[in-house]
Amino acid sequence: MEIINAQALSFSYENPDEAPHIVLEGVDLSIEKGSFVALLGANGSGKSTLAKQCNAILLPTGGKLLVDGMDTADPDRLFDVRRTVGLVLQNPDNQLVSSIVEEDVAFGPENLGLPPQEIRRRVEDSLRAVGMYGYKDSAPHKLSGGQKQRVAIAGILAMQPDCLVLDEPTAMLDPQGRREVLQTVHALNRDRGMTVVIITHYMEEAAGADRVLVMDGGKICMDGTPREIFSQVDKLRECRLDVPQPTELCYRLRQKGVNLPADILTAEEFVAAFEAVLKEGADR
Amino acid sequence: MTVLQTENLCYTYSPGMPFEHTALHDISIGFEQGELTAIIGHTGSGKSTLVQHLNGLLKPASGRVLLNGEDIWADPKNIRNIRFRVGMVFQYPEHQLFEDTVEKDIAFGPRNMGLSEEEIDQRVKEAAEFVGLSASLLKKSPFDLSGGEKRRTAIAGVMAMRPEVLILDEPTAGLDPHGRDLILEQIDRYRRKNGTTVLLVSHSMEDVARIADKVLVMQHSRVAMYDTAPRVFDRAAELEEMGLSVPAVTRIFSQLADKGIADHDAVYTLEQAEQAAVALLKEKGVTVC
Amino acid sequence: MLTDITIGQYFPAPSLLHRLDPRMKLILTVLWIAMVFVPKNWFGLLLAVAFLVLCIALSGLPGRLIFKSIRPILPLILFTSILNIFYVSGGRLLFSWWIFKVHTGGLITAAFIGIRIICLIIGSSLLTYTTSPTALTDALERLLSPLKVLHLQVHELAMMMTIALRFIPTLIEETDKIMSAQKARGADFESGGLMKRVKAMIPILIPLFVSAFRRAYELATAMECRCYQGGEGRTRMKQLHLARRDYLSLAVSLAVLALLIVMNILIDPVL
Repeated sequence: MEIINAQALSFSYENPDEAPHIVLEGVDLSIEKGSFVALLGANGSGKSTLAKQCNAILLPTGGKLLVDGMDTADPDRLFDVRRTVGLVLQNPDNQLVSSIVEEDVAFGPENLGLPPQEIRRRVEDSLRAVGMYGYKDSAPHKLSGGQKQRVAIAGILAMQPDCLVLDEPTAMLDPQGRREVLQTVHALNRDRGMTVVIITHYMEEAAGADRVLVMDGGKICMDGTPREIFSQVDKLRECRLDVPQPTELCYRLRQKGVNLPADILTAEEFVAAFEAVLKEGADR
Repeated sequence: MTVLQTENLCYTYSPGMPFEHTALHDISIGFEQGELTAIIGHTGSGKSTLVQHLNGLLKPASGRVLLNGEDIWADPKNIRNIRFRVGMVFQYPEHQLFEDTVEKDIAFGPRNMGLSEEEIDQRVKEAAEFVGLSASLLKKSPFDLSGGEKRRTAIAGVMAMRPEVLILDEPTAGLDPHGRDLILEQIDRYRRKNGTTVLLVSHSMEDVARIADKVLVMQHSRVAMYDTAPRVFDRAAELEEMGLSVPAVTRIFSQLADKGIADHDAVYTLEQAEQAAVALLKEKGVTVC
Repeated sequence: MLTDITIGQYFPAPSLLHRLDPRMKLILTVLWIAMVFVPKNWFGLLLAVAFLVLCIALSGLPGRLIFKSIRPILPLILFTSILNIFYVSGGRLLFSWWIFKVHTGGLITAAFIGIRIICLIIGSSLLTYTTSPTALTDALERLLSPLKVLHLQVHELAMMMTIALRFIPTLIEETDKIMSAQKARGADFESGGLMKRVKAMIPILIPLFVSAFRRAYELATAMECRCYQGGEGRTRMKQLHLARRDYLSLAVSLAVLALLIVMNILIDPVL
C-alpha cells in the first residue's frame, strides 16, 4: 500500500513580470506505508516544497499528488489529508503555539473537535511516545532545541497521522538534539509502523533509512537503498551533497585500485573490509 | 605570542535567582597569534559564554581578559574599541542584517569605527571578496539574497573591521554541505592571508579537524582539554566518553590501532586517513597505484 | 539582562491558589482591587494587608519572588510618595525649608497610597504567578464569551493573547541576541542625544521585525498543518469546573470586602 503518490507533480511560483520560478518539475514518486524514507538535497533543490505538498500546505500547479488515495487539491478532503500526513517543520520555536507543553500538544486534536477525554488520552500518549511526558507542564522556551522539536512531533502525533513528514527537523539542533529527534522518529517507525519521510542534509541521518531519495533542480535524481545511493560518490557530488566519511575514504582508496566494496557506510564496516584486504595482501 | 588571554575567569548567570547557574569556572587560557582554535563542547558547556567575554559583551564576575597583555576592562569606556579589535560573528548572523544594501550592511562596523569613506569602501570590497560576494550583489538588498549569501554578508561585516582576533560562533549551522565547505574554506583563507587569530565555536568535529591548529574542549563550565589538534584527537576515547563525536576516520584508525593493525597516531582528516591507509596497504604488499 | 524580567511569569506549584479555577481567580482579582481601594482607615488597610499575606502564604511562593514583583515599580511608588509628602498639607507642620513644607498629613497620605499601590501590584502578580498564561487567556475567553452576541471576536482575541504570551520570551531572547550582535559591530546605544539614540535603535528594530514576520509566517503554516480553522468546532482538553474551594474563596473574599465597608462606616477616615 502506498501512502503518498505523486504523478508528474510540478510546482512553480508565478511572477507577473518574469518567467515562472519552477521549483518542482515532473516528480513521480510513491512511498509505501510503514517505510522510512530519507530525502536528501542541497538548498534550493525543492525538497521543502515537496514536503509542503504532502499535506496540502502548497498545491500542485501541474500533475497531482494523492495522499492515501485522496487528491490534495480537493478542498473537501483538505483536513483529511492533513490528518493523514503530519508535517514537522525545521524551526521548533516557530511551530509551538502554547506556553505549556501539554496544551500545545492538545492544539491539533482541539482543532479536530474531539471530546476532552480523548484529547487528554492522545496528548499523554503522544508525549510518552517522544519521551517528553515528564515535561508536560513546562514552558517551551525553557526546553532545549531537541526537546522542543520532540514536543512539536508530539503535537503532530496527537492528530494520529499515518505518515510523518519532517522538513529538516535537525538543521537547527546540536548533535545531542539531533540524536534525540532521530531516535524518536526511528522508534515511531519501528514500534508504531509510522511511515516517516525525513528531509535532511546530514548524510549520517540518511544512512539509517530504508530508502534514500536525492533531489536536485526540482527533480528526483536518485532513488535507492542507502548503500546503493552512497556508493555513487560522483553523482552525489554533482547534486552538491557529500557522503559519510568512511564511504568517501573507501571511494578514494578504490580510485587507487584497492579492492574494497563500494557500499561501505560505517566505520565498523570499513575496518572489517580493510582488514580483509590487508589479510589478502599478506597471504599473497 | 599570546594575543588574547583569560585569567581565572568566572561567570554566573542570574546570580541570586532561582535559575542561577555557573557558566564559567576558573578559566585560564591563552590564544596564540595567527592560530585557529576550535572550541568544542555540548550546548551549555560554557563555550558561548566564554567567547562573549573575549570581546567584552559580558563582563567577568571575577578574573580578567587580557588583549595583548592589557585588561580589556581597564577602562570600561574603551570597551567599544575592544569590540573592533576582537570581532565576533554570532550564530545565525544573517539575523542581524538591517541595511537596505549589502554594501551598507558590511560598512556598518567600519563606519562605527569612524573611518574615512575611502577606507570604508576599500574594506567593504575586500571583505566581500573574501566571502565570495560578487560586486553585483553589493547593491542588492540583503533580504533578497539566498541563505548562504546572507550568512556570508554578515561574516564580511565583521571581517571588514579587520579585527586582530576573529571569533565565529557556529558559522556553518544549518547550511548544506556545499555552503558549509565554502564558508570554512573562506575563513581559512582569510586568516592565512591576514595572519588573524581565529576562534571557531563548533559542534562538528569533522569541520573543525580540517582547519584547526588547536582544539579547546569545554565541559561543565571548565576547560576539559586544550592542545594541538593531533593531541586532542589522540584522546578520541575520552572525547567519545564526553559524548562528543570524533570524526569517523579517527574512529576507524583507533579501531585499527586497537586491533594492532595501525599505530596509535591520531588521524582526523580524510587526507591523513588516505595516506595512512595507503602506507598500511603497501606495507602488506597490496598494490596501490 | 533583558531575560531577568519576571513580570507576567508563571511559577508552577501545588498550592491552593494554583488550583483555583482561573475564572474565579480573575473575579477574585477584581474583588481584590476593590478591597485595596475601599479602606479609608488604618485598620481597614491592615485587614487588607493581612488578607494579602494570607493569600501569599496560600500560594506557596518564595517571598523573594514577591519582592521582585515590586522592584520595577519602586520608582513610581517613590515618585508618588514624594509628591504626596510635599503637596498634601493638613495635620501638623513637621519640617519646612525654603518652599518645601512637610505636614503629618502628607506623610500619612504617602504611606497610605504607597501601601495601596504595593498591595495592588502584589495581588495582581499573585494572579500571574499562580495561573499559567494559557489558563488565564482561557478564563478570559470563557468569561467574555457572552460578548460574542455583540460580535466581539472573543476566540480570535484569546488566540492572539496565547500566541503573544508564547512568543514574548522568544522575542526578548532574540532582542538580546541582536543587540549583542550589533554591539559587536560597534553599535552604540548608550551615548548621544535623543535623536542619535532613536537612530541607534534601527539596527535592532529592523532585524527584530524581519524575524517576527518570519516567525509569524512559519507559525501560520504550522497552525495550518494542525488543522486550525478558527474557533468554530474547536473543543478544549482542559475543562473548567468550579469546585467547593472556588465558592469558598469567593465567600471569604466577599466577607472581607463587606467587613472593610463596615469598618469604613464605624471608623473615622485618616485621609
